[in-house]
Amino acid sequence: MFERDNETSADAALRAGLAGLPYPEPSPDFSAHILVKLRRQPTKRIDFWSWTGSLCAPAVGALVVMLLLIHWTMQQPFPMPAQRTGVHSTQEALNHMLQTRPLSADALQLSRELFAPDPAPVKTDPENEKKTRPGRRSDRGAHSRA
Amino acid sequence: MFVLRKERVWDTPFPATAAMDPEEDRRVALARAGDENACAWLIERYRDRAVRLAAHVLRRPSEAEDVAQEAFLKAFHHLSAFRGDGRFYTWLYPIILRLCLDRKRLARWDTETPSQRAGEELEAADDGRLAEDTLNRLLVGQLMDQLSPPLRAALVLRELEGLEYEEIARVLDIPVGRVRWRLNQARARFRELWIVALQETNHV
Repeated sequence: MFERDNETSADAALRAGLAGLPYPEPSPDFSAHILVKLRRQPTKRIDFWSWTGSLCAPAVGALVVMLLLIHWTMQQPFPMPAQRTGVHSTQEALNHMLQTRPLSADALQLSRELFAPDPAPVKTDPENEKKTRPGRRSDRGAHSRA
Repeated sequence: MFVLRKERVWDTPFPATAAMDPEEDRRVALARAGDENACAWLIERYRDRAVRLAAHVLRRPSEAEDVAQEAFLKAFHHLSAFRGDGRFYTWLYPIILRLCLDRKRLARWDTETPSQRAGEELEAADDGRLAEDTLNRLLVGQLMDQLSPPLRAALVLRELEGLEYEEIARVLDIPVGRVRWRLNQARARFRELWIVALQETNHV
């Protein structure tokens, strides 16, 4: 009984103490300060979008031009391989070889073969053919020296 | 420099469980549409409570107004997300408490609590016996300094704002059972302080 009375009194004291706790009074411009900040927000948003727009407009323009170009190139007919001349393709092959391969003896030999006119078929001796076949020791040595 | 209020400004407890206020609903709807007068009306209605809640949870009166203003700004910015199924304070209070707890986490201060002023009051009592309300205030100040911010928040919401357990649970975003536990803890701690203080004053 005494404890319950104590509890009730303590709770009442707690409530009274809390109600009596000091706290700061809001300043007179409390509301005005918030309203000013609220007013500023939309302009900030507009500024942000205008800034983003000026940044993105050239990018969007370039993208549109690029898409148009791609569309136009897709419309064009592709050149057929048969239309190419033999000389043209040989020159291309030579250029490619000169750019990509080292200028070794093999490469020069290959280019000579490419530019040489087609020789008439000649009967060769099988033994002779063995000697000229690539992969021989003498050839490998020449390659490494080059 | 702020002026401390010592008297309670509301004679009636905060009508937390009162029915929906149609006028407030109308103002909230207008504020959502960007009406500045409606915002001003809501600020005027809740600014004292907002500052008081922040001051008691923070135990740093000089920060309370900043927190309250920031909370109002956030509340208005995100008002479109407010479903309107409760009073405006059910939207505002969680924001205030979150801001308070964020500031407490930063631990930028460890001074300027009302206990300092309470100590001055204690010294000013020349007859050796304090008035009952002063004693209560001192004890509550001492209690609040000992409690964690979430416990303080629960206590203030219940005893000062008059919120129901369910509402406190909603504001603090915790289960109702935990609200009860927190409040029991706070009350039990206060009872201990109060009994000791009573015994000491009776001995004087």
